[in-house]
Amino acid sequence: MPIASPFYFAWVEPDETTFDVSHHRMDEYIFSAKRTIAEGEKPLLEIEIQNPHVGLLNPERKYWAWFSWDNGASIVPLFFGRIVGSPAAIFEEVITLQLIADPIDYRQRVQAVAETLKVPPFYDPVFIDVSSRDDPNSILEAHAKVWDVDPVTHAVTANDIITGDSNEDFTGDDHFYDGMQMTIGQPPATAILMDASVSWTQTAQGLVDITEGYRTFECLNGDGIISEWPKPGGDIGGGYKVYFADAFDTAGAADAEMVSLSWSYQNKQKKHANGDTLSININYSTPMGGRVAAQKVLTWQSQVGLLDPYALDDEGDSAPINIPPSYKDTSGYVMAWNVAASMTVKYEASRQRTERVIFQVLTDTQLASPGVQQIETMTRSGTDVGVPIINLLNWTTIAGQAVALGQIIFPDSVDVPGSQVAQICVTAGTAGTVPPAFSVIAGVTTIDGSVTWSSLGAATPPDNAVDWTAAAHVNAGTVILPQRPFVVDLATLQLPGLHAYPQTSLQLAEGSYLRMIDGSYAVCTFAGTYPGSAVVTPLDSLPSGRSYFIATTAGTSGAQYLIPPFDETLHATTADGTVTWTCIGTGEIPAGGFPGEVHAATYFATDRGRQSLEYLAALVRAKLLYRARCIEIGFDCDYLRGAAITTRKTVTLHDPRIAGGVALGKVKGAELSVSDTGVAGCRVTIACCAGFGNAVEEVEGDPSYVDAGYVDDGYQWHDNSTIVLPGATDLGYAPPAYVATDDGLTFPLSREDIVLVDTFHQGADVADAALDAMSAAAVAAAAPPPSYDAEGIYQQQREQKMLSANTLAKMLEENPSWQEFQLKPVTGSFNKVYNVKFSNLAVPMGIDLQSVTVS
Amino acid sequence: MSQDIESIVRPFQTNQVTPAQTYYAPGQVGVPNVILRLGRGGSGKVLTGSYSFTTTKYCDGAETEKAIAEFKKLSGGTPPPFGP
Repeated sequence: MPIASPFYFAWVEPDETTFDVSHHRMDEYIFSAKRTIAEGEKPLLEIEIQNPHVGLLNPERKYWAWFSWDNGASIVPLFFGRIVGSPAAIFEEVITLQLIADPIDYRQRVQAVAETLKVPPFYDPVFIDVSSRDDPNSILEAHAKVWDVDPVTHAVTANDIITGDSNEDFTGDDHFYDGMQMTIGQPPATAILMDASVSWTQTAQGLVDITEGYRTFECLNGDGIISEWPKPGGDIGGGYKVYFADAFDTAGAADAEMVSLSWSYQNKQKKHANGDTLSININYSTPMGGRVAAQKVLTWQSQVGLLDPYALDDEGDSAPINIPPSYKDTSGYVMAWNVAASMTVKYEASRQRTERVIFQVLTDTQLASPGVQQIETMTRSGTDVGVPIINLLNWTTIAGQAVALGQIIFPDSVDVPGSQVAQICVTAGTAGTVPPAFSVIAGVTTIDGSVTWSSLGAATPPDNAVDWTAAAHVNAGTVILPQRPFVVDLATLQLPGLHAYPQTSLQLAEGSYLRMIDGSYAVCTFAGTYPGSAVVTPLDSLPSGRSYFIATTAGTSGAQYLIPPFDETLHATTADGTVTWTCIGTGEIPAGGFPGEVHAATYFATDRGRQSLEYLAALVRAKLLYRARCIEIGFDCDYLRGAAITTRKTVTLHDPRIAGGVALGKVKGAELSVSDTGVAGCRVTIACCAGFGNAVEEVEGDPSYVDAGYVDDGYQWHDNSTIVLPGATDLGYAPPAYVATDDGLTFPLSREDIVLVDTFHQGADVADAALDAMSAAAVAAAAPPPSYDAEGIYQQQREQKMLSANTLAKMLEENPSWQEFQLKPVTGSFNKVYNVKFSNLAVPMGIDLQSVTVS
Repeated sequence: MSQDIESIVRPFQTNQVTPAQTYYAPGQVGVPNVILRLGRGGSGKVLTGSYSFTTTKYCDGAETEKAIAEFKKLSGGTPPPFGP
């Protein structure tokens, strides 16, 4: 039989969201009613009514309803919801309807609450997949909360699973003795081991003057130093390129050469007397230019003169003897070199880094048995913390809101096309309030209010933007990070050629970017000599490599090498072929720095990294707390008290059968029911934690950087310190300490950082020895063989070859003077692990299972 | 802490906070230093020169021949050797 008043049921329009006297009516005969609220679920109302024998889902009918109750003092609403589906047993006289408190704008309401929960340490996009960064459930994961919908107001809130907005106190007289039940659910997880990692590319570039200006090398083999000295633009490995290099001889050895001189005298007298000098001829050659390190006469031959006008032959006739004196020699000269050399290198570091953090959190629970642990493992892999974090929002979040250029969204409405493909804003404006039909094809735009979206063609936008590419088709919405090319001063390229002897022209390679003498930029677009056949095209500017650009107009980019003059003013546009690029700034990089200049050698030991660590801890904490509510107590109370119960409240339940006599728990659910016999009441279930109710306290620790009070907070470092997780009082940790475990390089680099060896190895002075060897070879060549037979001639030739092989070059090969540099490479990859000590999770004491006062 | 936890986290887990430790992926090796050896191939420079001196002197036997002829005319014999 229908239940008489005080219950009311009114069919209403969906927008009749405010309860008033017009809803104090009975549109249906109600036989029974049960309102169910449960943690994390939408409230339900199940009612038995007299079958109206009409289609309940007829569009002409109202399918929203108010259910209310006259509590004696006033008529209070208990439920507002819509009918769900078609009732079973539709031909019976009494049918059962199910209604749900599901607001039409539930998604928007949840999204709005979720946006308020994006607070550190409970939200960290580093450890949330890019496509889920605005997903309400992902946002909620690190909070010890569940979604809650009020059965009357439909207010959506994030409901803490431990604490409540208020508490309802139930004495032993407030609940029915037989209705109380206590169950122990799934045992609490006593420990969770978190194993998480992040990666990034440590990038940096800069110049280091290796030689500290020009330095000189005095030696005999300067030609080797000059020829082997690195050349500008060359790659010497280890992440280094030669930015400037020059080596030339200041002693003139390179251009020294022999010059020949001759002098002659002729006696022009008509008459001569015996002994008169008739002629003299002197010829010699000697080095000109350069500095002689050693010289030696290699061979010489002298003829003593003999003059005898009275000599007779055998017949007694006059036979004067006239042998003129003569002298000739050959000399060798070993030239000295004085090489002036300079070298500046450009380092371009790109080092892959992975950092791992491992920690475990134990729960402080009464149910832990010694030696028995319920250990779970959680693993998380973070995003690349060396590139800007993509702040991806759901469309619901920005509906009706102002949208900035470059904002990426995920169309979260499943009701519209393209709901699974990320979109990027190419025209800033205000988004509409109705989700548009997005395109799944990359580059196709969609109008949404005054905003224009361009489809990225994929569910997950790429983390890394690419460099500018010439002559390529570019979709609207493409994001690039134009890199700065390797630029060399034209003067530095020309200088070695000017110092060379003879001077050489500059050979320019295609694609070489130059800073001209006047400071302007240019690029070689056709290889050749400069000046000469090389074509050098001026450029207005070059990108800094730090600003991102979005293609707001699709098209084809410009010609090869001709990087457009990107205007890096925020939202400024740059024309590039038929593409229009718009600057969208730099973005926030978790590891710090700028694109191309991410210097961080550690992540988890930085402030931002500790925020990520705390997020991971919050994840563990939420899971442990949820599992810590392992004691469930159900009890029955009267309808009046039950009507006041919500899942946002806690209940203190007094009963002598409970250990300690009292239990405090969070309301997990409540069934407020009235039967067809008029029996009304409420079944309440609460979840209690079986912890010890301790709290973790902050410990400053021992100052380890400098004495206490010597520096301000923020500079001091403490050992044995404990930091309490922000926003919580139940978990603390010792912050990880950074110790360099890599190659120790700290960017930007100085000469002292990278130059490990800088030594000039001065070779032995072999000049005299070489000249002696040359002399010996020459003498041997002129000497007669030991015998004029085959053996003698062979021995002579063999000796000559051996002596002639012993040249200066040979000796220098064995005794070179050479410069040695050893540079620490800037390449490499580094992995690091932190083991972080956490306190036990201090679980609240909702029930004292160890009490001795159990009755 | 149970042995199970230790086995899971080994070799990184210690009882206290530990500083960061480097670990290596299988096959990962360190990067060698950049070594520049400049000038070991030089051959130096040697120049060779020469010097020559020659002279000619006047010398004839006219006086000797004249003396011989005079002697022969006066003595009709073989002249004695002449010399300075």
